[in-house]
Amino acid sequence: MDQDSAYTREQVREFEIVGQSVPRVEGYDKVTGRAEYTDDIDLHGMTYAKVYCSPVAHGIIKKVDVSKAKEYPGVLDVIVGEEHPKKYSVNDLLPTETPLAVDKVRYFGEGLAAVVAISEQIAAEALALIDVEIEELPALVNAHDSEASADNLIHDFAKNNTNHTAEQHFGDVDDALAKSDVVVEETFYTSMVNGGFIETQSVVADYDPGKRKLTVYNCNQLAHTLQHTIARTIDMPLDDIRVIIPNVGGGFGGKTEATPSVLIASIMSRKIGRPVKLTYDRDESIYQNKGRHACHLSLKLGFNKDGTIQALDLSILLDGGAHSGWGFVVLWFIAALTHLPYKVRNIRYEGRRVYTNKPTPGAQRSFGGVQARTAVESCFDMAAVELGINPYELRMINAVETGYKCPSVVEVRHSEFKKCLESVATRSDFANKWGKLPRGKGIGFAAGHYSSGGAFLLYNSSRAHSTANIRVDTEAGATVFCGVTDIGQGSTTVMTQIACEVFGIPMRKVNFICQDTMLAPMDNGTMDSRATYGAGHAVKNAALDARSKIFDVAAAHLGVRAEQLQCKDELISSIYDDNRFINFWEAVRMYQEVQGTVFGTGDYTPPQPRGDYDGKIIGPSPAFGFTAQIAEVDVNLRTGQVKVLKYYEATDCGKAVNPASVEGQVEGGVVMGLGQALIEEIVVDRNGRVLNPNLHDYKIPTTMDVPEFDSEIVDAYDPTSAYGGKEVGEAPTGPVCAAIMNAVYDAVGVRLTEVPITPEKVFRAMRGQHSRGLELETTTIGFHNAKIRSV
Amino acid sequence: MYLPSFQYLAPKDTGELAALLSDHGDNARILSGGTDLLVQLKNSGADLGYVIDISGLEKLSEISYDDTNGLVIGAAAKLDDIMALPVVKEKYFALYQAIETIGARQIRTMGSLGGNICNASPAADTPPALVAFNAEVSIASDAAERQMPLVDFIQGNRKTDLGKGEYLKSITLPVPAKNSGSAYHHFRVRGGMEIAMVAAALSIQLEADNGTVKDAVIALGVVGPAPIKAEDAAKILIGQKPNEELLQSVSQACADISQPIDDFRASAEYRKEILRVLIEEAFDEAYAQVAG
Ligand SMILES: Cc1cc2nc3c(=O)[nH]c(=O)nc-3n(C[C@H](O)[C@H](O)[C@H](O)COP(=O)(O)OP(=O)(O)OC[C@H]3O[C@@H](n4cnc5c(N)ncnc54)[C@H](O)[C@@H]3O)c2cc1C
Repeated sequence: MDQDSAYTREQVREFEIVGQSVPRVEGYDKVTGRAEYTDDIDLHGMTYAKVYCSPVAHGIIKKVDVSKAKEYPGVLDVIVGEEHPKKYSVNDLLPTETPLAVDKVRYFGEGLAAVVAISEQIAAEALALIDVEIEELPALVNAHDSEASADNLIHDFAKNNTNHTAEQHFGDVDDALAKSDVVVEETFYTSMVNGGFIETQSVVADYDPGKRKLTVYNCNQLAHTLQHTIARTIDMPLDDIRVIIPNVGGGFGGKTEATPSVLIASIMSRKIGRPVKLTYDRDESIYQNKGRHACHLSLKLGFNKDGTIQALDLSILLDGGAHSGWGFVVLWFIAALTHLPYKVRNIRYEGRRVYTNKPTPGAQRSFGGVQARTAVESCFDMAAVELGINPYELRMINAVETGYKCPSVVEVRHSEFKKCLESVATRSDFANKWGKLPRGKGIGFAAGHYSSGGAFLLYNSSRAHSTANIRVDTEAGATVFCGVTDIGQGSTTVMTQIACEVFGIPMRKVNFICQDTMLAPMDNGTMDSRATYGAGHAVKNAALDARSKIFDVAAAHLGVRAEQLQCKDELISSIYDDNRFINFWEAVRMYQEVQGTVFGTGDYTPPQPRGDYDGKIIGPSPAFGFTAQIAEVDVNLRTGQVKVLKYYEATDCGKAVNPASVEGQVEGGVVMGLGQALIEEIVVDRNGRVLNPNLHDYKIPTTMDVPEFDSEIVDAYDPTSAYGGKEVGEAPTGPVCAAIMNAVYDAVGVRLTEVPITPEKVFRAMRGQHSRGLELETTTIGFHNAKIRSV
Repeated sequence: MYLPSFQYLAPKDTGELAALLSDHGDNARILSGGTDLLVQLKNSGADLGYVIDISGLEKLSEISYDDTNGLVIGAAAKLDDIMALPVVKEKYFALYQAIETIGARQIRTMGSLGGNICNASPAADTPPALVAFNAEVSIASDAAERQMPLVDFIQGNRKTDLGKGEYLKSITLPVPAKNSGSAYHHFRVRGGMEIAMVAAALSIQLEADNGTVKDAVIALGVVGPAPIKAEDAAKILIGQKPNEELLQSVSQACADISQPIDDFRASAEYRKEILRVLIEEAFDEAYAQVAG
């Protein structure tokens, strides 16, 4: 079907709209406040729910008496956990969660009961009338302790509180390490951080008792996965549930799962036959977390004298919090991510994920990437010192190139990684600065990559990962239906650009309908940096399909073969003869007169390489994005405070379909990494109580914390992609912690191995003292914390 | 997270304010900029009788300076308006620095100096700077008006000397002596929208001819329930020409009397170390203002 005459244009890579920094389609609405988010929705007969949050992290529920709350004027209903004991998890992978706690509480803030009332305030007041009795069990707040605890089990079925284990071995690591000239070895700890999206999770569930159908509005990244979770958990037929995703105020991976609130609101709406709204406060949002896993890592890297890497031996322990969530995937993803972006042939990975009584982490931006990169990139720096090879050179020696096949089935079909390395090294004058700056000033190198969507679905299905349908007519222009979710990253704009590019019509003639399971076909959703690559393919294919019908009409009319036609500025013309042309909409009108509306459809499924080892379905991706980064820091020699002065970044995201959006992703992604590197961490006391469940004490960077950026999108084009583009949403976050750790080492000669790098940790390290970060996690911190909230 | 219900009152002048406070004092809160109060009311959950808004009272928002009375700031004067006055930056630099660090633009536009003082947070930025200038406060009620040093007015965490029916009327900073300089240094882990973890303010006066210290006031912030006036430490400086050793003994004396908390954000021991750095840096800055 490839009568794509624009194919000629594509071969020479000359595009009209692809590659332009066109403004966001929804930009005006967001900037002016017109944009509607879930909590803004106001339905007729709306009711409001609030959740009673557990004041303890681990305990047996003895009593949840809601009788008084039920009688409170204005209260419509109250539910407790045992009414809905069905367990769920994302994609049904080891379901452990219930909408409200049943029998047992496993984390601080877990819901015990929910009230629905005619106003949110009344619901909140009624919570105070609920009588709860919990027999407290010792809280397990440290992954090592949890693993060692045989008789204090968070879930009865999980021996030693182990959730999952993973092992992979390629080549012969022991032999390769023995033969290596230099072996570096270190242990690392990366903290648990929260996505910190400005919009806390919110849901409106609207059950229609007449039709017996449920509509759920929720700021979620994966509309179709959410639809499945609701259907299975509350026992409704899938097609009786419609999920609509309004504007999303940031997701970062944390919104890829169903929050308990979605299920609670759905259950309550079905019970009372009225729409129910439930919006989390910030503290509840942090208790529900699904941010980044805290991780203990031990890494060994072996190198030959010439700098070629020989072996990688990694073992990790993931702090899984109270539930399984995405944990199993994160565990395997770390295995997959250590394979790249260097050409290492001998790899051993051993990972464990254990339950603790903490807010459950999930799949936060660059998931698995931050943990893996922190260890690998730090060890690269250590090796550079040992080998006497500049860290930039050491990375160049080992960098993957187009066509590289890992010892696993992972294949890199396109890479301009070396260009990235070169770009930052040159721009920052790295060779003249590294090891040569005055004490207190430092420069640090780190690099990374990320996949553009996994090759496999995580449930057993051979369905396409993305599908797009297009309708073209003179009544509405070109209308694209596609299931991908714009969580602020700009997919709606990029998909619109792709459709415009195929049709040769302006942006305003394309309507993009997404985020609605009734209107848009099944899509794997916005995660794993897959939208531009995966959904982009589907939209392009659908547009080509529709266009071929329009071109057929035009061809007959002009007396030109369809494959010799092109369309630009709404004019279809012969590529050989400008005088043979017809207006695009005129051709559409002619088609409609005879055959009706023009429809096109297209889908996309990545190549699925067959592997024969544990964890084989996690890791392969049709395309990888790459990043190289350099941080310049100032370390205050007296206080230990680290200030990032300048940040260099170079991205290989293939063709930047929208360069302004790419810059936004790069800078936003790096700033998110900076937050984890320097200030962010969810802190719990030894009883599992979260000490900083608000944005005053849980600190995310402000604009005042952002260094000067010097970033570059390197010239790249991935020919396997719809218009040459690959991922950029996640790779930039991965190496940031390591870049800063390496810069701190360069500045003051001490190697920090734990984030966040608080001033006190650097101060202690400079004095040769131990950091007290980890030990604090298990000690009482005293009453001061209770009142740290308001100034 | 809801505002409790209350009756909102907006007196037209200070006379009416005093009368309202005398009638409802026990059951009322004063609202100035509201940047502390509204947050607290939302968290308190408890109902309240009255909120008395003083932000419309021009008399309480006045700021004046003359060479006899010094700088007189009405309690409701906005932080941003205070900062914008050239004399503040010129003669009361430490106060300027303290205000500059508060929250962000929005907060300084709403927030008042009186609110920052009366809220009596151990982490408040302006009190240490005010103490370093020997600020006095005027407290008024419908019966009387009284004055006292600011350092005595703030008694502890969220505790002031305000009695029933009283309000803070104004803050007076005496005219700084000739040859004097001042600085406020604080430590925080985030660049914006952040409160101090440790703070130090100091004002010094030098002999005109030889650079020896004639007078010094040192105030410590966030290392105790209220700002601490470090008098013994300041005495070490008087009559001396500063050198590194001398400064170290001053900063050590400050660290010795400080009582910082120990929590997950930083240990007490570390906070004391930071305090020493801040004292020394603030001194250097203030000294340079006079000695060049
Ligand atoms: C986001 C944010 C950031 C902040 N950052 C900082 C910071 O960096 N540093 C800092 O120090 N503070 C900070 N604050 C706290 C606050 O903004 C300041 O303390 C401000 O100066 C308070 O002034 P206000 O006029 O808003 O006080 P209000 O909230 O109106 O009042 C505060 C208290 O003082 C009482 N009060 C006010 N005026 C009088 C009076 N004349 N007589 C008697 N009682 C009175 C009130 O009843 C109330 O108890 C921050 C606050 C927010 C919300």
